[in-house]
Amino acid sequence: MKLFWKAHYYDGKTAERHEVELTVSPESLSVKGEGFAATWPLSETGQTQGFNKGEPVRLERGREAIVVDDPEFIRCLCEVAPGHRKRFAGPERTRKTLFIIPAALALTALIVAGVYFWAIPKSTAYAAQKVPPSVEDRLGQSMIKGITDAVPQCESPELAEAAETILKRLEAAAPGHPYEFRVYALESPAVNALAAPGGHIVLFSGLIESMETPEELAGVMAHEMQHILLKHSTQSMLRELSTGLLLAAAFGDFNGISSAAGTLGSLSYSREFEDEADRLGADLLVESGTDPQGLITFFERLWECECKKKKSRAETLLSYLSTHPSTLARIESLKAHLETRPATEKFEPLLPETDWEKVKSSCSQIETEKEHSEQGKAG
Amino acid sequence: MRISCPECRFEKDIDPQTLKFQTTTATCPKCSHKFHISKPEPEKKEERTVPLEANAMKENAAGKGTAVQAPGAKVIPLPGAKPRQPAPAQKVSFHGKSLTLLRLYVVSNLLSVLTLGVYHFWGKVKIRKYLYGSTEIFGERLSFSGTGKELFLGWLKAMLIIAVVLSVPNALASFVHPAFGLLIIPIMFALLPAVLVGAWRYKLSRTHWHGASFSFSGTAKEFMKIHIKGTLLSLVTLGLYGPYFHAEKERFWRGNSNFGTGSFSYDGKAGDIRKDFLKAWLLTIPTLGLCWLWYSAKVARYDWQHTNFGSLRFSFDATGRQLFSFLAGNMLLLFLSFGLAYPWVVVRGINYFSRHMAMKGEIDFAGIAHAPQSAKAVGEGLAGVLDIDVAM
Repeated sequence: MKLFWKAHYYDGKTAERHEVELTVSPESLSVKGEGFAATWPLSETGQTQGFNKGEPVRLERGREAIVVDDPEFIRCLCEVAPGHRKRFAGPERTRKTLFIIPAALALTALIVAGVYFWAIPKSTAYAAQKVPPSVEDRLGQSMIKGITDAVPQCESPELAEAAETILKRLEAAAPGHPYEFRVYALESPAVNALAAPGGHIVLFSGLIESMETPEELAGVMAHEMQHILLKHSTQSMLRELSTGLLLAAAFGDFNGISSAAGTLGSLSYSREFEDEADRLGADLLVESGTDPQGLITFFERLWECECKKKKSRAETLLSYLSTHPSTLARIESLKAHLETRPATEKFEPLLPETDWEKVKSSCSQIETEKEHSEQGKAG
Repeated sequence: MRISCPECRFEKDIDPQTLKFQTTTATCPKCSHKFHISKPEPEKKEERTVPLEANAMKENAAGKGTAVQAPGAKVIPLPGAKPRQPAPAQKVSFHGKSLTLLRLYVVSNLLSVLTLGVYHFWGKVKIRKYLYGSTEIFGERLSFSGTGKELFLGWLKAMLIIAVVLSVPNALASFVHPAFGLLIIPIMFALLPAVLVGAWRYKLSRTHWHGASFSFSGTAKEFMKIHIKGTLLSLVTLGLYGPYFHAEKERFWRGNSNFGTGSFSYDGKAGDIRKDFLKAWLLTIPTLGLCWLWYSAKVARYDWQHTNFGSLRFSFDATGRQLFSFLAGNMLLLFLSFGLAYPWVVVRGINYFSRHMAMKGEIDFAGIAHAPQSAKAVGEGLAGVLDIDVAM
């Protein structure tokens, strides 16, 4: 073992580098250079570099620093001064530590998956039950405001009346809930409907136009009502929030990734939420005396469009599919669910005195009328 | 061997054996001019085989020689010696390994997940310490002295500041008039210079090298002026103010950066890059914006060429093509590995920089005093929260 170690010394006053020789004793380090000598007590000496292979050992004491190029120095230091062994460490053996990479990766993936698929759904389902309806309503209102600010509302009185009638009938079948349901019709070609927490249901005019009977509309509305009654929208908001936090913790990124994850799944539900809303929505329809076939017919039409992709309407329908996945599977499970119910129920026709064709096109009519009048003004 | 003073031509014979180093500083007894002398070629003992590092060793010895005034330096120079050699170009060398870096990242991520993200700051420090400790300039490694605790506290303070800053226009918007919500734009605009300066000051103040630490003497107020003036004029001139804005910014960033008591300086002029800027500006549409890569490579070369530290001059020689293949390679690596190759991208980045970077001249280390700067980590925290990257 070497007795003298070549090193560089910095006095903490200037950037000048002094060549020195080090000698190690059990309690201290003696530093000798040209016209210079000092003793560093090991208890005051800290190591800041030399933990990795090829990195020189850097010892610091206050502002002073000593750099030793020879990695063997640390081993000598630990042998000579066993009392201070804990303060110093040489480079870890590379081969020994490399297995940590797959192990830590697998463990991280396991924890993240466990949290994502188990802890988050469980805890958000529990937390959502604790969120009071008034808070949900406020949340929903701010979400709705965001949408209605961007998309114009459809002002058709026929549609509003039809939606109100359907809503009343469905609500009568679901007594004892704390929500006040409100339906918003928006002028947008998207074949889509949304449910915001607290009882807000958004229907897009593209969706209404694609429906052939009021029962279909009742089906979609029952489905969205169940999302609200089952607190799905509140749960998925909480899920997004906690998923964002999880990703932030995993990747150490408190901005980029988490905000991206937040926008990824805005207002989209997991498959199980959709299935639950489908089944209970169908039950709600049956209990209110409405033919649940309307919901199935609507899904089947969606499925047809899905098959005839690349046709003009398919593109607009895609927006519905993206937030409501795998239509065919849903039709199957919905049919299977309805078969389990006794088939003796009688269904009352919905809106028997209303001209559905007129209702369903009332939004676009207003739109075209507006365009005409605007053109007239311009002319 | 015979050496001569380049100033007064005074010459003397000395024994090379008395020279302790490859290169050392001699002081002329007649005019007390300081200059470098080297041992004759066959005497050279190659301590390392890599020529770059050998150069670095020589330079260290030179620096040391000046400082300690070793007996060899007390030589009396005599006439007829060989003229002073031009100083060899210094390179930055990086010794980091991507796999080690990957290990640091992976372990840091695991511990972050287990601690709900708190460990992230300590992991960041570990990674930074590794990267700094693997970077060698003039034979001396950089070192990072930041701590996880200060980064964590800085982040907490930054979150608090952001929360307050965002809540004021929000409250005004909901209680007074929705138009107050637009206040967020000027607030963020005004906050940005403070964040950038704070983050850069923190990073420099925690960087140590060769017995001294770096520091930054520019103020947020100063940069705010440059930033506001530059942004407004760029808007008015459809971006044509760009080169002037660039030169002012570089003068601010580089000119206010210090190593110990020594200061960097920048003498670039907008007039020199104006033509290239105009060319890139006109070619934006036909080249789909790619011409800006060539422009930024050229400007990087120009900026380093006009950066000095005392008598030390810098040069950076990456071409637009090299920058393009560097960036494209990074994107490809990240894309094909689903982000797992990030450590390789980091190492590639440092290697790209050090491969193209060279320094010529000497640093008078004895004349540089250690001047530590106490900077808070809030700037770094704010930059992190706002997702702004302040890189070396």
